[in-house]
Amino acid sequence: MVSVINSIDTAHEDMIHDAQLDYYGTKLATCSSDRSIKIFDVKSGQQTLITNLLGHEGPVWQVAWAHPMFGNILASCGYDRKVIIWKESNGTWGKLYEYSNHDSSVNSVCFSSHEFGLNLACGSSDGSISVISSTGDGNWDIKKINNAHTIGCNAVSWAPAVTPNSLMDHSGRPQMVKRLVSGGCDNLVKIYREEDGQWSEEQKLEGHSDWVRDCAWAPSIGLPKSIIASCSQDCRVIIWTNDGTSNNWSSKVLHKFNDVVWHLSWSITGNILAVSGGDNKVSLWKESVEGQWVCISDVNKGQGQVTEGQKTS
Amino acid sequence: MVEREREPYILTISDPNCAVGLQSTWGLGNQLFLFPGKKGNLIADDRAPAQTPYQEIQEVKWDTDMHNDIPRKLVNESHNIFMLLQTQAAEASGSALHPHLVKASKQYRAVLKACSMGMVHLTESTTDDALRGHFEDQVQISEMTEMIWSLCEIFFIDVPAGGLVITQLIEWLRWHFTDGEKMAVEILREEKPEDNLSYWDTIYRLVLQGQLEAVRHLLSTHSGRGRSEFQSIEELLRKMPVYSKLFRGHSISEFDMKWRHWWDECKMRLEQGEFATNKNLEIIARILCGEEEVFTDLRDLCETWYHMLVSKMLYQNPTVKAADLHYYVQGCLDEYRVSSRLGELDGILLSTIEFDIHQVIKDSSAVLSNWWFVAHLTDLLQHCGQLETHRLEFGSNLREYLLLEYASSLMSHKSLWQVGIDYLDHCTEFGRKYIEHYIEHIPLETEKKALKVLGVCDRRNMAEQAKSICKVMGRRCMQHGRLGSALSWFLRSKDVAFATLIAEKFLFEYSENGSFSNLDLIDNLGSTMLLSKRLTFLGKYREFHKLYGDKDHHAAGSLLLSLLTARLAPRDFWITLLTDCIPLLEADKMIFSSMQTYELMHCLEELTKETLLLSASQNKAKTPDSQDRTKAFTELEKEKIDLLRLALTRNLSRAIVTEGTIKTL
Repeated sequence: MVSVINSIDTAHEDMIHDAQLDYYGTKLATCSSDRSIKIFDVKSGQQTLITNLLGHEGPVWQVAWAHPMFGNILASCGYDRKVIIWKESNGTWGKLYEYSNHDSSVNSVCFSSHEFGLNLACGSSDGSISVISSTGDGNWDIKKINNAHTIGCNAVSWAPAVTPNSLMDHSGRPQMVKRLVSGGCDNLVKIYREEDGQWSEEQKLEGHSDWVRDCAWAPSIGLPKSIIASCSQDCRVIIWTNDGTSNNWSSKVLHKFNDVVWHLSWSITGNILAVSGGDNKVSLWKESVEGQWVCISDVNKGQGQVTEGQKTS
Repeated sequence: MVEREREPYILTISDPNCAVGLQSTWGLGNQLFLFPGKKGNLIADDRAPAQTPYQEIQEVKWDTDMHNDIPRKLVNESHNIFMLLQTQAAEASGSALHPHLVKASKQYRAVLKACSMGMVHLTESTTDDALRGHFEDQVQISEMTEMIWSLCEIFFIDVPAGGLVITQLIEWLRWHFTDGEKMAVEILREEKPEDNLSYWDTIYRLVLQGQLEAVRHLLSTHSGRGRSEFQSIEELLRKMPVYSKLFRGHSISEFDMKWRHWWDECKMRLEQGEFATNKNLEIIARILCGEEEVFTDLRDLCETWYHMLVSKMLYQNPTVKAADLHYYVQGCLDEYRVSSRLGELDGILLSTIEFDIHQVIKDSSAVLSNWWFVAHLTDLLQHCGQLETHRLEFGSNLREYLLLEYASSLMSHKSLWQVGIDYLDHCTEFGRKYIEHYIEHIPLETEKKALKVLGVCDRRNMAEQAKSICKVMGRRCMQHGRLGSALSWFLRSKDVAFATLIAEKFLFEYSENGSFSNLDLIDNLGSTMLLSKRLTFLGKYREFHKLYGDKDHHAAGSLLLSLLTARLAPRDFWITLLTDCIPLLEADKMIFSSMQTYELMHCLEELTKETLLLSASQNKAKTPDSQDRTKAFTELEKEKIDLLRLALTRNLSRAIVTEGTIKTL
């Protein structure tokens, strides 16, 4: 039984494009077309605004939290082609680093697993992907994957740290290879791999017939297989699976929706996929015991009535 | 097996802004944050204008039934039962395990009952209508669960010897259909019970439930009790054979014989018209004979098809085996079919009688709003050997699937997460990974909690997660200026970079203030100081101070020298170290030998030369903002160096002389 617990009034003046909860579920960061990023403290049911970050000169598309072991760090990207990394020190938030090396709107940012250190992947409408890595002493190392997707790259997501089909090195511990998955306007989902400091395309997954809007690599639960979910303007969500024994990825259409699917995300243990789309619904999908993906819940918009508890302008 | 799909549950958010689209982000565990909006078309900048200036985010949770106070007790107590059961299952199996399983089942039902009663109490005491409605729902669910569980216990867990279920089913019936008993109590209080309108109905109810003592008691209050027909029925009621513990020693066929004999007697008396004068007694007799029509007539008193089923079996076929029960179900179902679709509870009970365990579990998962029941029951059934442990598509078996669901639903609660972890421990396939994922997301509000979480990691050898938690805590301490605590966290997580950073901060403190803070920590570093060179230096340097304080000058001197020659000391610190040598050089006793003095001089030369060279190159390059690491010496430093040179020379001469002197007696 799903129920609304709370509603948070963000006071954004324009549409919200993204909201992300930090690792511990205590802070919520939201970003909007009104160019601001707000961070709320959402512990135990109350919401208090912690800070309002201004720095982008256009709509902010996405935010991402880094692992708390690096401190309180948030990354944001926007229409103004900038990627800004914000950090909290001594109770105040400020810019840690600003990256403006893209020629067009940056659409997506994603931090890697902390085992790889502090790495941020950014996907841009100029078709390239940048990987910004912290070297530890306050400097940042930039690697660019050019021409990742023609027309533009819409989403990036990192593979979990221990990729199941990686080789074991001589000490018995699996080698940690950095992998990224990205989705773009060329209808493709691509996998990139870093080897000896260089990024190269490892796989091209074809299956969508329109722009790929979002992609997400599922967290690993110790099985040898890897799972990636992608969604597209062709109204489909596709689940790509690699069984860990070869480089082949098989695909399965999760569902054909009634409208464009904008966004999807995996739960912490990767057993539930939340899908949201233009049909004004967020649906939750789970792999059943028989291996079929079934919808377990639907959350959709009301018909526009305002209930008693609602705020009015 | 035809799958009955669960309809997805739909929740509607009333927010007009969501008309432009709905998005979500994951919270902790079963929690989502929803907000209106969509990614605009990225080339054309078309953003729909907001409907109202305010953009709200809705927080939505599910499967959180267990998070309220009363169910929480249920969670905790069933947790204890579960853990005990797992230990017992690990040590015993088969028939040795059986009594434990039965006990566990009864205990689960007991805690469920307690929870249910707590809810009932809440229902009565709460004034909020919406809340009361919620509690009433919960009570209903608890009662359904209890009904299903107890029936499952009879069919799957506490299977009676020989498979004869009637005794247990009658008990089950009495436990869940209490109207008859209640009414009997009320009626007996009256002066003339037989005048009560419900007198006979109550008697019929009790007969249908096999409560023959109570029936006889009620009949004995009837004014007509002396009459022959009353006496006759009383005799029949008294003599009915019941397959209970009394019969344990005897075989089934013996009982069957006795029962048939009694039945024949009933039939005979009925046909002879002994009860013709009293319609009510006749009805009783007809029930005793197991006549079909009378059950149909009394359908309303049976209330449900399963009640009727048990009642019929009692009087028609008391030696029925559990496995055969389902043959008789259809007849009863037909009596009650209002619509063609069975109620949810009915469906589950039917599946139980049909021994379709998987259907029971599947439907229960769909109908009951939380995973508590199915998770625990399936675990129990698995241990009973009732579930084939074949691997399912998702990678493990049904029991694990349900336990994972149950545990996950607990993880977002501030204290129940620990219970969740214990359950995950018993999920052999994926439990560990799940724990690894969740543990990193547990908020570390206090040091105490962080230590608790760390304890969880340590006990399970989750070194990576432990390290990550230590790093987070260490960083937090550093941000708040608590360097000592930060260092202990970093030592624990073996974080070289941060340990070095903190060691440098301590050293800096010393050079500024002339003393160390956090002395206990530094003194007790022990082997952990080896984590980073800087830290080792710090530890050793402190040791030097201690030796000096203890007046063990020789050891102090040697240590100091070794710090320099082993290059353990950072270059910035050399001047301080060398300055520390001065008192040792000027001491009355000779501490440094000539060799040692030469080495010290060597170090000094190295230091000064390097500085001279660097400052010279800096002048040449004329770079104003080159790194200040090796700036030219300050006045104070130059003074110190001069003093040092003097002291070194004097000591050298003293040393040469002393060493060169041959001691003669």
